[in-house]
Order: sequence, then C-alpha cells, then structure tokens
Amino acid sequence: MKAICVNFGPQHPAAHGVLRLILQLNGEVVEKMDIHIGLLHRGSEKLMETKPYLQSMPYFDRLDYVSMMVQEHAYCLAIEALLNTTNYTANFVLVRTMFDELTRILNHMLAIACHALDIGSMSSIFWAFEEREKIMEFYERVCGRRMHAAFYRPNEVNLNFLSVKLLTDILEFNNNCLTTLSEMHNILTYNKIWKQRLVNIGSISYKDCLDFGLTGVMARSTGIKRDLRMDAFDTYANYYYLNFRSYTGQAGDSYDRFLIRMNEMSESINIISQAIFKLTTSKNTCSPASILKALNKKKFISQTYKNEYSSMEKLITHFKYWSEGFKIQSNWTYQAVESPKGEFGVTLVSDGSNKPYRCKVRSPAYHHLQVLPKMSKGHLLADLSALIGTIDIVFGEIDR
Amino acid sequence: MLIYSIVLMLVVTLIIASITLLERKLLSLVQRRVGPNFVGYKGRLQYLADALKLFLKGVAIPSGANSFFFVAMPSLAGAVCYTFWMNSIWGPSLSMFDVEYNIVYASLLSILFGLCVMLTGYFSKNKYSVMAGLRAAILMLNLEIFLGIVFLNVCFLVESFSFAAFAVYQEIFWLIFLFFFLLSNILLVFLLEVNRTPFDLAEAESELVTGYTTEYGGFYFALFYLGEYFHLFFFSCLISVVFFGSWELLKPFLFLHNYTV
Repeated sequence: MKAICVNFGPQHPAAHGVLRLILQLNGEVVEKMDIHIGLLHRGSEKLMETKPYLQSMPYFDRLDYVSMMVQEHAYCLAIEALLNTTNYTANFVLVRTMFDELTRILNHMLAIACHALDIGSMSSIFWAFEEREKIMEFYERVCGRRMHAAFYRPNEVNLNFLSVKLLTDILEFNNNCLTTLSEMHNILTYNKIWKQRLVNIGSISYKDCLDFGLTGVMARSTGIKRDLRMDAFDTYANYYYLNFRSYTGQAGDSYDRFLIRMNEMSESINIISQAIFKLTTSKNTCSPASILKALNKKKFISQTYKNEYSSMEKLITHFKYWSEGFKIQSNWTYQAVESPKGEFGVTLVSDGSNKPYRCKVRSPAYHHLQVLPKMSKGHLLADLSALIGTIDIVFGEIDR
Repeated sequence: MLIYSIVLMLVVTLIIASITLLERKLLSLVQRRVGPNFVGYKGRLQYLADALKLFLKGVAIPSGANSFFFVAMPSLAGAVCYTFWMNSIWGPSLSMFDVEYNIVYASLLSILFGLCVMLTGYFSKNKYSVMAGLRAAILMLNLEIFLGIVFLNVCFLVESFSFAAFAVYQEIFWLIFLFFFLLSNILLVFLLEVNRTPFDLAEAESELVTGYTTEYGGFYFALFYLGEYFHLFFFSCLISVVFFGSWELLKPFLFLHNYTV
C-alpha cells in the first residue's frame, strides 16, 4: 500500500487550536511528520520592547492562555530581579503562590479533560470545566477579568479585592475540587480502555528530555527530579517555606504523565490550603487595609497605587508613573517559574530606559512540540491525537 | 403498501428523533449539565429544530467527487435503514412482507449498511473519509463473523431464523438466562455493530475529523444521522427479540395479561 500524505490541518478537531501537521501515513501508521507552526504568531516579544515594563504585562496572559497568572509571575520575577527586590515571604508573594496553584489546577483540568475527550471519554470534560469555571470566578473576583487577568504587579499585587470571604470560598472550592478529582480518577485511572490507550504510548527516555529540552511534567514522567518549585537554587515565591510534594514517573509514557498531572492537582490544593492558612494567621491579617499599610512602606510601591486624586501633585506623580513607567538600570536576568506545562522563563535585558531592550520568552510547549515526531513515529493515527493531548500544547505560547 | 410505507417512515422517524432527545437529556444528567432546554417546553421540541436546521442547509459537493454517487450513497444508506424497520414497526401481526429468515435478513441489511459507509468514504474524495471507509470495511468483515456466531448459537437452539419461533421458544425461559455469561460479548458485538462510542472507528471524531461523513452536511448528513439511529434501535429490538423473550411475557408473569381463560 502506498504511503499517503495527510494534512492534519489547523481545522482538525484534535489539533488543539492551530496546529498543522503534514503526516506521512503507511496505512494508519504514522511514518513521518512535519510540524507547521506560526499560525498564531502575534510578535508579542517585539511588542514588549516598545512598551513600558508594566504595560507589557497583559501580553503574558495571552501567551499560554490556560495558565495565565503563572506567566505573569515569571515576568514579575524578572522585573523584581532587575530591581533587586526579590521577595520570598511577603503577603503578596503568598497571594501569588496561591493563585499560581489555582492556575495549575486550571491548566491541568483542561489538559486532562481535553485529553480524555480526544480519546473518547466525554463525561470528565464537563466535570473539569465546572471546576475551571469556579477558578475563573476567583480570577474575576480579584481582578475583574475571567481569563486574561493582568493581576500581578512587580513588588505587589492588587490586594483591594482580597477578602476573608474570598479565602473561605477558595477553601470551599478546595473540598469540592477533591471530589471532582476523585470522580475523574474513578472514571479514568482504573479504566481499562483508558489504560490501553495510554500505557506505553508516547514513551520518551531520559536522554530525549535532555536532547529536546523537555521540562515540567514531560521531564518528570521519565524520572528526572526537576521541579523549579522544589529546586534549592531556582526556587521562587513562597515555595521554599511550604510543605508539598512533587511527583515523578518511571516509564515516561502518557499514562505516567496523566497520573502526575492528577497528583499535581491534589498537591496544588494542598498548597492553596497552606497559603491561605499562612495568610490568615500571619501578623498582618488579611484585611486589605493592614496589608496595604504594610506594603506601602517603600516609595515606588506607594506610587503605583491608585490614589483618591485629592491633590494635584499626587495626580501628576500617578499619571507620570503610569504613562512613563519606571526606569531600570542596564542589566540582564533570566527568571523561570514552574508553569503547569514546564519551565516558563523570561529573559529580560534592560538598558536604563523605561522599556525592556529585549524580552525573550522560553515557552515549554514550544520545546514539547519538537519531540512529537519522535514520540509518534510508529504509532497509529488514533494515538497521535492522544499524544497531542499528552504533551499539553497551547498555541498562544508556541507561536507567541 | 405505499401508504403503509409512508406512514412507517414518518412514525419511525418521529419516534427515533424524539428518542435522540431522550439520549441527550440522559447524557446531560450523567455529565452534570442542562442539555437542550430552549426549544419548546424544556427543550422537548429540540429534535424538530435540529431537523429543520439540517433540512434548510445547502448541499456542498466537493469538486473532485462524482456528484451522482456522492448524493446517492446517503440516500441508499437511509433507504437501507428504513428497510430494517419495514417488518418490525407494526409488531408480529402485521408484516409488510413475509420473511421467514428474519435474522438472516437483518444481518444482510446490516452488511449492506456497512457497504454504504465504505462506499461513502470512497466517493467523498477525502483522505479522512477514505480511511474511515477502510475501517468500516475491516470492521464489517470481522464483525459479521462474531455477530453470526452469536446469533447462530441461538438459532441452533430455536431451530429457526424467524422471530415468531423465538417468541414461542422463550415463553417459559428467556435465552438470556442460558447465555448469561455471554452477556458481555453480546453487548460488545452490539456496540461494535452500531458503531457507538468505544468502537466508533468509522466516525472517530478525534482522529478522522468526523470519519465518513466529513464532507457531508445538511440533508444528506441528516440521512446518515437518522440511519445510524435506525440501525441502533433496530439492533436493540433484535437483541430483545432474540434474548429477552420477544413480544411475550414470561409464563409466570402471565397474570399481568389479565387472561380470563
């Protein structure tokens, strides 16, 4: 039988957005694959060079549009590193940690549910999206937007909308989310069809991870103990002071990755609970006024807040701060966070002006997509859609 | 005869269209969502709205395809699926035509439907459709053997291929009790035969777009859609005739008939 070339095109229902693959099929076995990317290219990195530091924050929500706040976190960390104001213990760092983990649940819910839908299990996507809906409601309550939050700021977060009511609601969500997780475990983990479709499908080795630059869940599934939250030197936010676990697999196949994602979600719930405990029991209780008071000690922080426009001078300073931005001395930094997909890094080069000289984004899914031809070689066409699900790609960050 | 046929088509179509609504409602219960709830009272008329939408859509024929066969294939598939029901819709007393070998007849029609699916894939001039068609062909070849074996078992017992004989034979004892340990096999064969979710190889939404109906839309897609449901419900009917005592109740339950002998 002659090999056929199929355009696994951008409109294909399993293509997760705008992935285009040119497949060479022998019967139904994938022989070769050519990946075409760039259909969602918006030139974000170049646009960031033309804007003051703070104004390019919303671009990071739009890179990987299912794990928004984690990427803002990377950018904030980069700016903070350039300003030499890296902080590990402040209340706003705790809030960031909490929302990072909420975002991790948000991303993994989508990843697993869409993976399950690709394989043919329809129910779990509705349960997962119900949970995502609740998380997006928390987003909306703290910053007014459901998806593209633009919530974090360097050296602060907007704490005006953070209330005890919100924290209790998040705690209640934690309980319900565990129920949903166990439901998803029931329907997927021990399911024979699910295991047959995932076990030994898309196996990668330790060496592949090093060759292709795989990070995050992909690397951990092969047994590499790499989690930036746990790392002694690269740790960020409040993770050093929290008690949590990170999971590794052994076989490096899709089933391992699925299990790791499921476990990470329950671990995220654990982290959220710890963060809330710390927020509410710390000396500065979580009343917005006290936190604001504690935060507003530094000069450039107090400038960033919206004032009540009572005096002309304050108004002018405020306007200048938002239109002109702040200047950062000539410097270079690379800051990475453990985004749900892998290591999301930001390289920021400043040149003393109010705009970054260069901003380079290291997106994990871009690296994960490269390994797809190697993973899928010799697999059936039906497994290809399972593999696209398991590498968990989002095209906002691949094409940037 | 003609009037019978027309009434049959209308009745079967309406029944099956409304049962699709039931299926969607049940699915929505499983998945914790609302399901169709807008058209009519709590969405009861959703199937009419769907049908209207499909019938009002235009027909687009791919430029490379043979337009006659492209249009003929769904029509043939629809016709085959109506033929399933010709004898069964009015119950045992009123058959359109007398067939003694009901089960053979049903298997033949099933093969014919599989053939329609395969040829549809071929005439669509779409690589995904061709692959779906090939899958359907392989499934047809393999599956009919299993189906034959399952049904031949019971046919040896009953010593007949006709539904009436099954009804008489199962008056005191349903065959499912005898074949209880084959229940999983019967279910699997049933799911394979009607191409439902774990075995929807010919549709396979995640890898083959929508399989053999990729190029179809509007009325001709509706024909396939209806055809599949006809196929599904006819095989449910067949299973209940062959294994679950046909149209008679078990003898011990006869008091329900309220006989006054």
